[in-house]
Amino acid sequence: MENILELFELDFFQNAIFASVLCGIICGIIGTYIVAKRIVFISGGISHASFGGIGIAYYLGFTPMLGASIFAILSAIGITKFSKINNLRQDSIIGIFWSTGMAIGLLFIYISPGYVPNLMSYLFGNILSTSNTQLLLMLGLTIFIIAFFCIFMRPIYYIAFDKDYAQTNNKYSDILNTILICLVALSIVITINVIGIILSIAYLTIPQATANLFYNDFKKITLASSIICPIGSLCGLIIASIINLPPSASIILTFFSFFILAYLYKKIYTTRLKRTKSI
Amino acid sequence: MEELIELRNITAGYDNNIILDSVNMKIHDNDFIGVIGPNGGGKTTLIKVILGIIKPMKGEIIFKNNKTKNLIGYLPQYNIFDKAFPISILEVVMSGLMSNKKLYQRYTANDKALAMNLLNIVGLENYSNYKISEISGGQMQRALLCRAVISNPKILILDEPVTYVDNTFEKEMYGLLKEWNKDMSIIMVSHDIGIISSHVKTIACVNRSVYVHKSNIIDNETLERYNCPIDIITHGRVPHRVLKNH
Ligand SMILES: Nc1ncnc2c1ncn2[C@@H]1O[C@H](COP(=O)(O)OP(=O)(O)O)[C@@H](O)[C@H]1O
Ligand SMILES: [Mg+2]
Repeated sequence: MENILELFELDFFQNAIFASVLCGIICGIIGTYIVAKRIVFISGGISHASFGGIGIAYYLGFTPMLGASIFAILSAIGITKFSKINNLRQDSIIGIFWSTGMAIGLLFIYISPGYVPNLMSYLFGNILSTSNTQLLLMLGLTIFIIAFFCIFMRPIYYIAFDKDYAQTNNKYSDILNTILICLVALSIVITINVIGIILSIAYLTIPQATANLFYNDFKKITLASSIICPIGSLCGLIIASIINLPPSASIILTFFSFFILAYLYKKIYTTRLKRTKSI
Repeated sequence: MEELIELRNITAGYDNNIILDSVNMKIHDNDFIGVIGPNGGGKTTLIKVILGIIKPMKGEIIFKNNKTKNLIGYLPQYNIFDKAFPISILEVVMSGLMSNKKLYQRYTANDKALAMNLLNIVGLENYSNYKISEISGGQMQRALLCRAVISNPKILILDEPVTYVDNTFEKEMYGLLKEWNKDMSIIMVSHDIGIISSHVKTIACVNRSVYVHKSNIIDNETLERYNCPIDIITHGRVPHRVLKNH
């Protein structure tokens, strides 16, 4: 136990703690939009496609996360635009972006001279190496997303529900929609840092599904998952350091346990409620 | 009658496929336009062009009054929504108010009262807190009709509004439309020539081109001249207006 307390004094662990909480808040909010709008698969595509940006960044020698952000935003916009073209089907487009992005990343990392980065940390995350700069960027995105959702909750809600209709009675709906898809892309890049390309979907779906068990209103689900997600994320990180597990795995399994417990609680609670009623 | 919108030489379609060719049309205040035409003739496309959902390839849409642009109520042809989307009937109806509000503005008690009043009119007063997953297609259609009129639009556009509703509500709806028509211009797509004849003031025949017929009575010869074959069975009240079989 003493070891754990010592751990809290280490800079890298403090950074990891902040990262887990900030990423939780960001994804709690953005994930609700993703789940409600059923763009989980698009998000998977964006996450994998951004590996292409990481590879190119390595080759050209700039920050990998900048490369990832550029690729994430371009593929988010690309998938949305190409899906509108008639004889192209959206899931095929996603498949194309998904695999081509990964291939570009692999290629550029292969031809990069010298040091070969640890691929595993991009694929499965490396929360313990969160830098101060990354933390600052995460904080900025968190504040922006909270403000954006607080101010524009109503139009965001309606755009997610019926984009065509929103377009007919709101001249800003196109701009809002584009901002939203960019926020989705940037949030995914944040999760890549924390939990990795392959696992990023966990942050965007499991806490939201948990919140959805109890609430059936977009605003309430957003609020609930922006609380559940950082708590699960933090618990996962701490459990990982106590029993020495990979943090990514631990975080996801914590999310999953929350979900199962919530599900069972709801099941038992509603059966009991029915029984009391029938007496 | 004041002119609200003018379509000038509009050509529109999808990808490179032209669906509407050189369309000229004017929409006036307090008009009631019945839009008819064969399946695939381009009725829905025409409506989407007016709404700005589809950008025309050629030509222009002129809004005589800039405010009109944001004052169009719309009931889409298909109500295929994600049934599991977490939204209540009341919220669906109030979403029609977006055009009247600043993006960040919240709802007032007045907005809610307005929505409740409309739900009451269409017989959904006890369903306001139901989620869209908990109501039928016909009930959803009524809620969407409320969404279309809640902003008190200058123009109300209905694309085959009776698809999902029962006969009782269909009759009620025409009554409502007549009432609303005093304050707003209505454009309604329908296959039912009988209904068109008894409710509208102007008929627009859409089949690649658009012919505007400034009366609510139309005969076979005119329809043929407009290149607008209608082969939909009417209620039998106006058999002579149904096009003869080829
Ligand atoms: N999203 C679309 N993409 C491509 N073609 C379309 C699309 N929507 C409609 N069409 C085509 O445009 C034509 C006109 O369609 P539409 O305006 O819906 O007809 P209507 O409403 O008169 O039945 C049809 O041939 C249809 O196949
Ligand atoms: Mg149609």
